[in-house]
Order: sequence, then C-alpha cells, then structure tokens
Amino acid sequence: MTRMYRMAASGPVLLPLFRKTFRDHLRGILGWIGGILALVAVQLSVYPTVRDTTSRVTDFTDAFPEAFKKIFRMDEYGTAVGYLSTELFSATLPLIFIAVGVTWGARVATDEVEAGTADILFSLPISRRRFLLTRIAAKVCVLHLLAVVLALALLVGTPIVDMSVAVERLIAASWSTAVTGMVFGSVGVLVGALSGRRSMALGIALTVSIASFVVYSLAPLVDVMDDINHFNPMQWTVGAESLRRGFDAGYTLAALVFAALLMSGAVMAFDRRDML
Amino acid sequence: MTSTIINVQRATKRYGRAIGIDDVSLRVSAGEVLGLLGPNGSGKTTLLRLMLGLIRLTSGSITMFGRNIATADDDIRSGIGYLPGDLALYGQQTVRQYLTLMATLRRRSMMPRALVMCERFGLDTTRRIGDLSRGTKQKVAVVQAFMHEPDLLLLDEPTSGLDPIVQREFEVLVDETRRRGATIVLSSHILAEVERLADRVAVMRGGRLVAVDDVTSLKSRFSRRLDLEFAAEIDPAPFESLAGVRNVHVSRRTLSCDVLGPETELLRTAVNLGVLGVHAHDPSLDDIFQNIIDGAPDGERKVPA
Repeated sequence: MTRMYRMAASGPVLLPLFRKTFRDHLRGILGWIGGILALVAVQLSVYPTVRDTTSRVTDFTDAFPEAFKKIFRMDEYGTAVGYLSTELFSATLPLIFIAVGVTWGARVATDEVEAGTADILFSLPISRRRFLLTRIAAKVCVLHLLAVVLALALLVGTPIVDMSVAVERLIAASWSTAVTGMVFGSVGVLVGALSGRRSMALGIALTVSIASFVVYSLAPLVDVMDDINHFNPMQWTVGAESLRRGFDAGYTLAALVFAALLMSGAVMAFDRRDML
Repeated sequence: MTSTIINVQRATKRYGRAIGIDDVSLRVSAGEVLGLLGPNGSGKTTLLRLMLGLIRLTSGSITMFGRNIATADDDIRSGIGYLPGDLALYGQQTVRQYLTLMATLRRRSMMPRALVMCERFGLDTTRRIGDLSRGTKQKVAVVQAFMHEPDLLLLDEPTSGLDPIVQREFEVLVDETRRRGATIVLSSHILAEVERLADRVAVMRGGRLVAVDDVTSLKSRFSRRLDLEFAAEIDPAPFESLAGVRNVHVSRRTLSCDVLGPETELLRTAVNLGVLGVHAHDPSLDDIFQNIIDGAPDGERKVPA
C-alpha cells in the first residue's frame, strides 16, 4: 500500500489520475480502434480490384484535372504506396487522428473544471502542472496507441493483399499521423487551458486544423500559400508524405517542437488561472 | 498564546468588473471554529476558494499556516480538508473507489479511517456515486474532507442536503474535530447552525465583511422576536415602556415584541401578568444585517444595499 502512495508521488505524472483517464474513456478508445481497423480492412480489401484494373484506373485518374490531383496529392494511384497515400494517409487518417487529438485535447484542461470536480481535486496537495502533464500524457498515449494499431493493421494486412510497402515506411507514416493529431490536439489543450471552456477549445482547434489543411491543399496551386506552407504544421506532418518519401526528421522535429511549445504554454496558463 | 492559522489581509477578488470579495481582513486562530455567515452571493464561497488557491487574489494577501499562499507549494494543502458548496464528485466511481483515489492522491494511508467514517454515516461504499441522492453524496464529501484528520477544515455550507439526523451526526463530528485541536471555518446562511457550532462569527454581505464577533456578543446586538401568550386579553402598555423592547403588537391573547439585550424585565412583567407560554424567534439574516447597520456608529460598517 505505502509503495503505491510513494509511486503516486514520484515522477511528473499522477499515476492514479492517468489510469482513471484511460478507464473513463475506454469505450471511446475502443471505438476509435474499431474504426481504424474497419477503415484499413475496407481500403485494403478494395486494393486487389484497383490493382487488377490499374491501367483503366490510372487512365481514369489521369483524366482528373491537374489541380484536383495536386490538391489530393494523387500520384501513382495504381501502385501500393500511391494507393495507400491517396486513400488513407493524405486525408482520411490525418482527419481521424486530428478528430481524436482535438476532441481529447479540448477536454484535457476543461472537463474537470466544467464538471466542477476540479474544486475537490485541486484542494488536494497535488500540483496543477502535474495534473495537466498527466492529462496531456494520457492524450499522447492514446494517439500513439491508435498509431500502433494502425501500423499493426497495415503490417498484417498489406502482405495479404500482395502489397509491397517497406515496413519502416508504414511505421513512419503511422507515427507521422499520430504526430498530426498531437499537433492540432495541442491547440485544443492550449485554448482549453486559457479559456477553461471545452466548446471554445474544440471550435478554435478545429478552425485552425481546417485552415491549416486549406493552406496545405492549395500550396501547389497558389504561390502565396506555397510560401507560407513552410510554416504550416500540416505540411510538417501530412505534407512530409512519410509513406512515399520516408521519415522526415526535420519536419517531424518542427511538429514536435510546435506541439511541445503549445502544451508548455497550456501548463503555464492552467497553473495560473482561476478555477471557475 | 494561540497561533494564527489563517491571516487574510485586505483581500480583494474581482471577476472583471464584478466583485467577489472586497477588502476583507480576517484572522483565524488555531483550534477555533469560525462561522462565515451571509446570504448567497455574499462572498463566503469566494473567500474559502481563495484560501485554497482555487482562485487567485486580485489584491491583498492570504497566509495559511504562516505561509503566503501565493508563493507556497502544493503541500500546504495536505493539512486542509475541503467540502465545496457546489458539490461535484466522479459519478462513475463507487464510493470506495472515489475515496481510495482521494487517499492515493493525498499520498497517505487513510482508508481504514475513511471506512469507519462511512459506516458511521451509514454509507454503502459499493454503490456508484452517480446513483446516490444529493444528501448521500454530501456524506461522501464530508468523509472526503475529514478522513485524513486535517489540521484545518474549510466547509462550505456543510449541512446542506443532509437530513436532521445526519446533521446531528455531522455536528458531533465537528465537535470531536474541534476537541482534537483542529481549526474549522464553516459557511452557512443559517444563524442557528453557526450559533451551535462556531466560537466566532464573521458576517458577510455584498463581498464585504460587515462584522466579526464571538457568538454571544454578536447575538446580544440582535433583537429577538418574542411571542408571549396569556390567559386573557392583554394590555400592551406595561411592555411598551420597558427598555430594549420595541414593536409591541397585541393580537387578542398574544403579545409580540422585539427585544434587544437582556430579557429579564420583560419576562418578570409577563410572569406578573400571568403569562402561559413564551415563544422566541431567532433573528433572520435580514434582522442581523439590520441590527448591524442600526448598531453601527456613523460612517462605520457601511453595508452596501
């Protein structure tokens, strides 16, 4: 027993609250896992058909307007990498991970406050910084858990449908997707810590995500967008196109530093704010 | 020689333009039970939450256990038990899970004592908190506040939602806690409750502290309303001339009046006239404020309307 208390006291994370966060959101987590597995299964099962009709499909996609293909980064649709990039990694998966990251992120600093349970919680001798770090750690862990599920599903699934994609590419792309969720989720964390309001955190983080996605999409077409796109978190993550080009250390580092800065800001803001 | 546990100096809290508390200064000594009395919105909750650091002061300072809360670390709260007025617990958990979580976060072994308290208040620890009634949740919160035997208890409207029997049990608990030397600050809008439990009373209104006094001397400043019942119709004249007696009304065999100060003369007169029974009404909060305003020398203790 005493050992348990000592464990709870050491380290930057409050273990009992970390476990509680997982337990409270277990159903949601299982739901997302199911969703990702289903998505991967459907997309992979369609692949053989696409591959067998490659010439026709590529003729078909070739006929798409150039702008459209650029926006959706539709290259080599007939190849395994091109197919997975277009169908999963260029939009669908990042959007799922952004949804998870933003909805979780918006809750990190707000749910206890809005529920009123923060009153008793912060009357205990625990630090608000450690509380927020704990909740952020739980969020990051969930995103990585989903990324691991995604990577495993692809590692198991691709050989079954005779796709040849390098293992490290699949892992890099999966991780990059988790980082996407983390980056935009951290916007939600920061706004939530500043405002204490979940709806505002959710709204602003989604707006930022959409704006970021628009800039990223239009970058190949509009010069101004192309210029600012270098500073766009969507470019650092989705734009790195890890599946096609392999792990991009520079972009990933930029994304991680960006997320870390926002989350540090959130921790500082939360430490100072009134629990209302 | 008693030491100061809480020292509030010129504390002000504003929310934008709205005022939470305004220029409040207050000392609480070790082992004392202080009642915070005031209507809803008078700043009692704000003051308690400021002491815990849940909200931050706009100006002024608060010292707890001799340490300024603005700079003290989080361990300062390990000796405090808090019962919030606006209660919210984790509804998904059972009573036992909840108390275990609180104990773990307090990093001390206190579950045996917590379970004894649960038994005392008749709490079934296996039930889900979300399924409990308002009053039963309040009991869980009481256990949570007392289970680590804190040196200081901050209790915001502690008896709200408790039925009379549990209220009695709670008062016994407060008494035991006081006897082991703990300091207690409790808020209420019921004078009788504060009177039973507290040594001193701090009266708040509109975010200001309008009076701090011990219960007896504060009460001596209030007029009490008495109903005297007689066997036959009664003439109010002998009563109207008594010192400290005001607002004499007669309705057939019952005479009502307000009395300030000792009631000896009034009761003697009543007995001589053959009184059958006396019924006393405790002053309401409004009466108290009216008394404080009436009794204040000019320019002092101004109470915002």
